[in-house]
Amino acid sequence: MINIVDLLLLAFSALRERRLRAALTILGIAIGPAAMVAIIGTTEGYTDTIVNQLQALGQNTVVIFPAKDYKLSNNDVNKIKKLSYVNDITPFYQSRGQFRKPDGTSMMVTIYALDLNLLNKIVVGSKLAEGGIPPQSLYTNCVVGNDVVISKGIKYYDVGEAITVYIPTMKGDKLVISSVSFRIAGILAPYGTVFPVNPDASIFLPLQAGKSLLNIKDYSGIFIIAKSAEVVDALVNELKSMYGDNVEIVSLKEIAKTVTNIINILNNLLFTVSSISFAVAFTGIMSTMFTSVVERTREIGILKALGYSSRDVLMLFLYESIVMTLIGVIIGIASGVVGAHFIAYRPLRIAGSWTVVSEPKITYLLILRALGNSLMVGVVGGLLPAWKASKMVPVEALRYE
Amino acid sequence: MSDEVIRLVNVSKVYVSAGGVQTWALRNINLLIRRGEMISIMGPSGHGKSTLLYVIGTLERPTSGKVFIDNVDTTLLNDEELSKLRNSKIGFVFQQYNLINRMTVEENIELPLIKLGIPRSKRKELVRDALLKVGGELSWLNKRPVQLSGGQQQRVAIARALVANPPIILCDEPTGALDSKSSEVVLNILKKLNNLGHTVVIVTHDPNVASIARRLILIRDGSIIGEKFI
Ligand SMILES: Nc1ncnc2c1ncn2[C@@H]1O[C@H](COP(=O)(O)OP(=O)(O)OP(=O)(O)O)[C@@H](O)[C@H]1O
Ligand SMILES: [Mg+2]
Repeated sequence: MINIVDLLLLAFSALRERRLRAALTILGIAIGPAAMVAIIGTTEGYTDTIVNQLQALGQNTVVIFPAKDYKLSNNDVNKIKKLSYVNDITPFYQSRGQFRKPDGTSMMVTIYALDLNLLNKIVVGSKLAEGGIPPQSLYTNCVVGNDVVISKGIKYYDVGEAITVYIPTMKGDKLVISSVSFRIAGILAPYGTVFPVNPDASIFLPLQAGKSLLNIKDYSGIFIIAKSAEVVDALVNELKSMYGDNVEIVSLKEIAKTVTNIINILNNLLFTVSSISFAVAFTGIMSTMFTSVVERTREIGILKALGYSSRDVLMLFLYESIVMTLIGVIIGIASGVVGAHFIAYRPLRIAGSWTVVSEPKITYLLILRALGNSLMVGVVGGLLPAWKASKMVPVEALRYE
Repeated sequence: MSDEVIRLVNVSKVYVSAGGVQTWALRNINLLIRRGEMISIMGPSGHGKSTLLYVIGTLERPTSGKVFIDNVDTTLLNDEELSKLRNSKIGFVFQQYNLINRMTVEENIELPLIKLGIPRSKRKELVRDALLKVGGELSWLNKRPVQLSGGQQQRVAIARALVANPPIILCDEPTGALDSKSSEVVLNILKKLNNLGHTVVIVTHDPNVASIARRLILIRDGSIIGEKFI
């Protein structure tokens, strides 16, 4: 039996003779695991971050928006409140506004008017950094997101100060931009951008402000907090049967599920794409090894004359492709890891101001998958040429003189 | 231990070309070679000398007939068993040396030992011994074959053939590529190996070369047509 170390040394000796060709083949092999680790590692990192963000927002929240010409009223609020799955409920008004900060920059904000006592249930985990929640009656008082008062580390507003926001409102049939001033009662601690809301760039007002200050006639929607995440589906079904097409129902749980599904599809797609580079490596190995076998016909004949069996010859050639594969896979995985960090280094802009920054997530499973794929490519791609080598008739090789 | 080392019984070898044309390279060969013999097989070009040597060396299976090595019927052995037998019992020397040029002299000579599974340090020792036996110099060990003269390369090839100490050494035109001086050196080495107990078979078309053996077999058209003892 030939010692495995000797097999490896013989393989190295053969590869060394055809350095350039071996190097190119190794490069071809490295591309597969590099692409796979870089791409999948990056997207899995993003996936984790996005899913975590969505889950942090709470899975109990369901939002309904009026659809078609339906108008949501207090009737609806009372009806829904009676459902057994519902814990808390608040209608809300929503508007977009723009304001100019003292440093001259302008900022888009989302303005919500709602039951402020439910704020930390709707924006789960939000905390006041300063000030307090204004009572419902003081509807010109607001709670602002952190980015509203702070810009590039400089705080421009304090609790008790007023800010003026420009809001599009309807005057009769005409859309006009009007300015509205609020008094800052509370400032939220930085929350981080979260799909589908950005609390940091939002202004929260008492419910009454919607009609009185923002000039919105009907509710923009209703926030419903279910008793638990488990009953969200049942609640959604009940709402569907109550309203049919009259409202649009959005549950964060559903969104998280959909996003996860989309990301999974994306991941599979990327996996397939990176698999193509493995196919390239496969043909690379195969043609390199076939060429090598043909060029080394005489060597094969000599080895057989010296007592090497067909199986030995097969192993010798197979080891050459395995050695190339192992070198390629190590280079590939290493550059994949570096590449993933390089890609993830730049924030991913998903929609509007929603950007995600995430460490790549390189799991052992991912590395094993890259390694496994490459090894399979190396073994299968090397097997046929090696088999051809082993079947070579020694005498024909030796007679050629 | 039996006296007989190689026995061919009614061996024929027929090559069939792609077009279906049959070439009878060997016809009904019967041959017995005793342990420690030195024997020349002589005949004109294309008359089956190499084929006979390859059949004896189990590199080629006969179309019919039997080939015994050390009383073992090699026609019944599989590829793995034949390889083992070649590895331990037969050393080949070819006209064109057949050294592997990317390997050093040392790596070339140790090839049979690697297959035998002999550990590295022991291999180095055996390689040195073999090289010294053929009058080689240790400074050759790290050279590539192409850095040596033809005669030197053939000596390296002989060292490789004998490094595993096989009882049989088969030579196909061992001096065919050498000048007369180198030829003489090589033939003397073969003679010396025979004196050391190896059975040596030399195939040649050159009567001068053939004459170093006591026993001479004449081959024509794949048949043995005569035998001489000198
Ligand atoms: N693989 C093969 N296929 C067909 N014919 C072959 C094959 N190998 C050898 N032959 C034929 O067999 C015959 C014997 O060949 P062999 O090589 O044994 O002759 P030889 O005596 O060694 O000749 P030389 O002195 O030129 O080396 C020749 O006619 C040759 O053409
Ligand atoms: Mg010949």
